[in-house]
Amino acid sequence: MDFTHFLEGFANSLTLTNLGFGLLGTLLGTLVGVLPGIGPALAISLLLPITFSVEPQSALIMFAAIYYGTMFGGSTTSILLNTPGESGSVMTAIEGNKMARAGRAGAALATAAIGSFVAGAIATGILAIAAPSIAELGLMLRPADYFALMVVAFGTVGAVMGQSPIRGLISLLIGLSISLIGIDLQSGAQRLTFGSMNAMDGIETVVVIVSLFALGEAMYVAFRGKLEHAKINEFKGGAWLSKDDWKRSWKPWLRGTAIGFPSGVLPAGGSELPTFLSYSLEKRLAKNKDEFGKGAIEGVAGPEAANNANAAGALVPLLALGLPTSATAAVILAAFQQFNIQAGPLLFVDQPVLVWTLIGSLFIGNFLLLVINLPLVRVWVKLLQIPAPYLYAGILVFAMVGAYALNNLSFDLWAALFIGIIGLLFRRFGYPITPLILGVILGPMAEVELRRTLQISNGDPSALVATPFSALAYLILAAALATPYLLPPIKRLLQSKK
Amino acid sequence: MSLETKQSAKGELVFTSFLFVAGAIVFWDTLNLATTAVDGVIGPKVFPFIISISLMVLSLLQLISVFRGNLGSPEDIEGGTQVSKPNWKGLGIVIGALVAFILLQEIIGFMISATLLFFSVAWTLGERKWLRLLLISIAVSVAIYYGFTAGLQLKLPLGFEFLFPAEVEEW
Repeated sequence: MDFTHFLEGFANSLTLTNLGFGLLGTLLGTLVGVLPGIGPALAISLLLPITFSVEPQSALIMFAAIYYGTMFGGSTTSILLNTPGESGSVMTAIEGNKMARAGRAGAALATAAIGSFVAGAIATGILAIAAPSIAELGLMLRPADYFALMVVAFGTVGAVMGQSPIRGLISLLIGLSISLIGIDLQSGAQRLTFGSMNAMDGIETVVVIVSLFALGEAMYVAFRGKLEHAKINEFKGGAWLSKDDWKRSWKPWLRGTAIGFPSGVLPAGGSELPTFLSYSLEKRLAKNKDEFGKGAIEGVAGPEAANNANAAGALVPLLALGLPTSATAAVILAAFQQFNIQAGPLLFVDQPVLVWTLIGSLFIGNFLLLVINLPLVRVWVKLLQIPAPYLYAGILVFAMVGAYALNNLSFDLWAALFIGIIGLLFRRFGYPITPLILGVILGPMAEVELRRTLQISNGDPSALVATPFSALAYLILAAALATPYLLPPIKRLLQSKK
Repeated sequence: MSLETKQSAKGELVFTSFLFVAGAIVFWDTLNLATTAVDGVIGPKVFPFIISISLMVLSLLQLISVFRGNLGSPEDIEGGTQVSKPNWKGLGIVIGALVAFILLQEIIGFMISATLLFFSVAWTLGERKWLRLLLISIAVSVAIYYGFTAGLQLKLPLGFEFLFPAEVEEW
């Protein structure tokens, strides 16, 4: 680890502006986590317009704090409302809500918040140590290697997410198709523009994300949902742990971190898988198995640690290689692009102050989150009383602002409506959204690396697998894709989730 | 097969065919792409060809799979429950409200059109206290307008420009 830069960054993250944006991010993140219907990816993309008027450092600190904050806030909704506030908190709802009904809401909230803090602190520490080394490795990678990495990300995210691998891969290909729209920067050819002037600049990433999450979700809720007035579980006393709770929680926290971090680094597509794995691990290891399903604290502690560690893990390939592994990381990459900052190996060389300040802010944000979540939990509970119709209406209006404010073009709004309908259909027929977003953001990068590789080799496609790294990457991808078929028990386990 | 599953199977078949058509459009567009000699070894066609052919192949496979009865199940609803009966009216109102917003906002301004959008969406999703809803719709729209224009220095249409014909600019 680059210790002088780390200290410099840490000191820099303590300036008033950076602390302020960090605090704002943690508050917004917790808010977004608590409210159902809006997740970190959507929240950050709705805020992307601020990249026009805020310094890169401050904006990125805020976005990272939002990412961490949603993981904290999501548990509150899961525990008190038996509806997950976030997809990473689905598992928390199972035991957490049972605990709340048995009058143990305080303990459930405390183990979630403290577990998130512990996992966040450990995982951010590993991030600070690992990311620079991975970036150094990244400097040695050739275009063929980068292309291989992206293909691996495409393959695993596509195959892991959603109800069947083929649905995930189709979602990815639709995203890649959308990324083609506009003028090809290398040749000047107009692809999929159909003569439209507005389409020549391509479809804005923000428009795609905002419409898939906000418009698609609101349309889907109107089409197939029934919003109920939330019934909030009562909870008395403060959120704190008894001695016995501490004893039962600390091991699940550490195990959750151990599962969450690597699954964030690898392209496993977000926090659903690690929280599920952590929950089933805790269930298997529990001494008193009967308690599971009736409110076992381990079932809250493990997944909540896992989803925070997952968020930190996802930042490693994002910062070190410029490669997002989840929808939220992809949106943060889009923010880097808005500022014309190249995330990836050169980031640690070109922008050491920026990146180390960001990492320092993560430690501070993680601590702030513990402070604003534990004692202030009652304030957040109040937010749960906002009727859901207002939430969805508000999200929709914000989404239209976000899509329009970029270029002040009605074209962007029509594009948003069209892509929103795709989002609706994807939800209706069980297609995952994340692969599409990764396709839109990584598509142009993948094409550049592919063309570079083939340009160097004079068109010989064997160059794509000629480096040891790329060959290894494709082997790993093949193994990962084949595993579910080779190990039917794992597959059955995964399906039992549904 | 009940009537409902039959209908949703039909819906999924139509949707999957639409995915195939999307692949075909990308393929057709790439085929007709005007290229120049300076493109080098690898022009702008290679990548779209890979994507469009994969998309057509996979959606065809998926089409067969749907024919065999492997239907996708709808996602869960955050903050509510799923109903199995499709609510076409609700969907129509939300899409209609969005279309109206897009058409109107540059004419009657952001604040009025956003109020309409907020009100009609929340109403469709089940809010019935109309006076409270109306007041909140107005408050939210005005707050967003000034938050974004005065606070973040972004442009949102104020509207009614047709009432004040632009004065002839003097050079």
